[in-house]
Parts: sequence; C-alpha cells; structure tokens
Amino acid sequence: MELDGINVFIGHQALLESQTNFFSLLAVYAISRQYYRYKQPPNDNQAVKKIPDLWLWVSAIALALTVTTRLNGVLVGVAITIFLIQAGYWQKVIKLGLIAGGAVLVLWLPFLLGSVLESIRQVVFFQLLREPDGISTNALTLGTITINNP
Amino acid sequence: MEVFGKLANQPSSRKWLAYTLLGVGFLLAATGLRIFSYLGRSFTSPFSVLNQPNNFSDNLKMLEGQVDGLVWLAPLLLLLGGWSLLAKNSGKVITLPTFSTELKADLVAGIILLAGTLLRLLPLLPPNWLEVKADYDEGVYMMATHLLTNGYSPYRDFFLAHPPSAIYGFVPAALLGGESANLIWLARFTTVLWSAGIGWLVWLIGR
Repeated sequence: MELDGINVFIGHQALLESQTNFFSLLAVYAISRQYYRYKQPPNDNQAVKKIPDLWLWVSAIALALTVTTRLNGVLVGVAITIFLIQAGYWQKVIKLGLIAGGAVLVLWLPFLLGSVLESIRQVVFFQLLREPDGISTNALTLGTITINNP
Repeated sequence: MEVFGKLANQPSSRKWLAYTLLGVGFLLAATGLRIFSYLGRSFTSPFSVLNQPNNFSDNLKMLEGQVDGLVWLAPLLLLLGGWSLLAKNSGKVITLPTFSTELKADLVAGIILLAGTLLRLLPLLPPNWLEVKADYDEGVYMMATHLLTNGYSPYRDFFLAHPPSAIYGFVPAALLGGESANLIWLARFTTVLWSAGIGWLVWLIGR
C-alpha cells in the first residue's frame, strides 16, 4: 500500500483522504492500546493509575477529528463501538461517545454560532443530495495553471 | 566455467546481497530507460473507457518519473552486485550483520516507510514539481482555507461541503504560503506528512 501507485498519487495531493485515514488509524490504534491495557492485570504504573483511560481519550479525540474532516468517519466510530461491545466494555462506549461528541462540538463550535442550520444544510444535505461528479477530460497541472495561464 | 565456480563458492548471504543489489539496479536502470512505458503501450487501462487521457502507459511514465532522481544509483548497484557475486572469495566471508527478528521487521518497515515517503516527496521537488496534476477538489480546499485565514467564516460567509477540520490541516500552509500558488504546493507537503503518519500507524497496529 505504501508503494502502490494510486496511493502514492493521492498521497501527495492536497486532498482530505490522507488526513481522514491518519485520524481513523490513530483512533483504531489508540483503542487497541486501551484494550490491551484493560486486559493486563493491575500494576503499580503511576501513569496508568493517573489516567487509566488515556488511550480511550486519544481514540475519542482522533475519532472526533476524523468525523470533522469527513462525515463518513462516523463509520470508524461504529466499528470501534461494535469492537468495544463485543469485547464486553459497553460502558466505555458511553464515555467514548461523550468525549468524541464534546471534541466535535469544540472543533465545530466557532462556526456553528449563527449558522447552525446552514452548516447542517451544507455539510449533510448537500453531500446526501449531490449528483454524481462529472468526468474531467483535461487534467491541469500546477505548471499549466500558474505559467501557461497567468 | 570459472564464473560458475566463483558463484558456487560464494556464501549464501553474499549471494542474496548480490541478487538484491542486482535486482534493484536492474529495476532502476529499466525505469531510467523507460522500458516499462514501452511495454505498457500495448496494454490499455480499464479507465480508458471513461475517455480519460491517461492510460496505463501514462501511469507507468508517471511512476517512472517519480524515481528519476534515483536512476544514478543503477550503475553503482549493478557494479556492486556484480562484484559481490563474482569477486574472488578471499576467505573472508562477507556476512550480513545478524539482527533479531524484531529489529529485522523494524528495519524492513522503516525502509518501506522511507521509500513510500520519498515517492510522495520527490514529485513535489524541482525539476518536476509543476507536473503533479491538480485535482479540482484541491482548489476548493485551498480557496476555503485562504478565506478562513482572511477572516471569513465557513457556512456563513462561503459555502463549504465538509466539516471544519477538513481545512484546519491546511491552515499552516495558508499562513506560510499566503495568496500565491505556494499555498497548494505547501499544502501538498502537509499531505505527505499525513501519508508518512499513515504508514507509521499501519506498522504500529500490525505489530
């Protein structure tokens, strides 16, 4: 994947895929770390005692960043929820949801004030109701945009 | 016959090293000579039914262009590989350093990560940095970031079909790049950083 042509091509364009994938993977990695922390027998590690759910927090915040980058990041949240429930940690789902929800609110709040309905219309309904993209037959490069068409 | 005798006498670790050097050397030489592009001409990409101008051969050319900066390594690797395979074994057995299994895995992952990051980074550097195709969406995100950093609020002052973190990531590029085309160029570096992070996280999860 790291060396695959299409991934390489997408991986150096200023698009949202890389950012979304990074935060999705961070959320998954963090929840797996938290799961192994739950599985371990109690120990005297001060860091673990101080913030026992540290990786759950990391996962929730990463999840919030995923969702606020692209809405389909919600699917990562669904996957993590299913994982936690089947692993027997359903109470943690509530905590994860509350932290992630709070983080989404903090990230979105500056632009929600005064335009709540408009932001929902633009982000949710525009994407749901949009028509399929057209097919471009003339892909421009940065060179043709900046040099040939000043 | 002497050649085969020399080959038979080489220790296996040295042979593997030689084959690796020769393999990578041949691949680099082949990309430098555009051999894959010529081979690709006889194939047509499934995407050609969409009337897109880029076909399989063009994609190969693009990939070959990405390793152009490394082509000078080809003769060096071929020479080293050839020497390693055929040079007289003087009794000093050349062996690869011994690593633990974990360290070997880390090294392989590190090399793949480095190669992946270089493949993404090299097209953004001169002389080919203006040849990366611009996506329509890049323009949308850059304009939104530009407006945000100039005091306009998304949803209220301009249309944005994505949640706000979509453009937060490009804000540093906008602050550094200002209004020029540097913005999109710097934003692409941001994406390379995310991509390197993705590789790193995949490796961590896999472990």
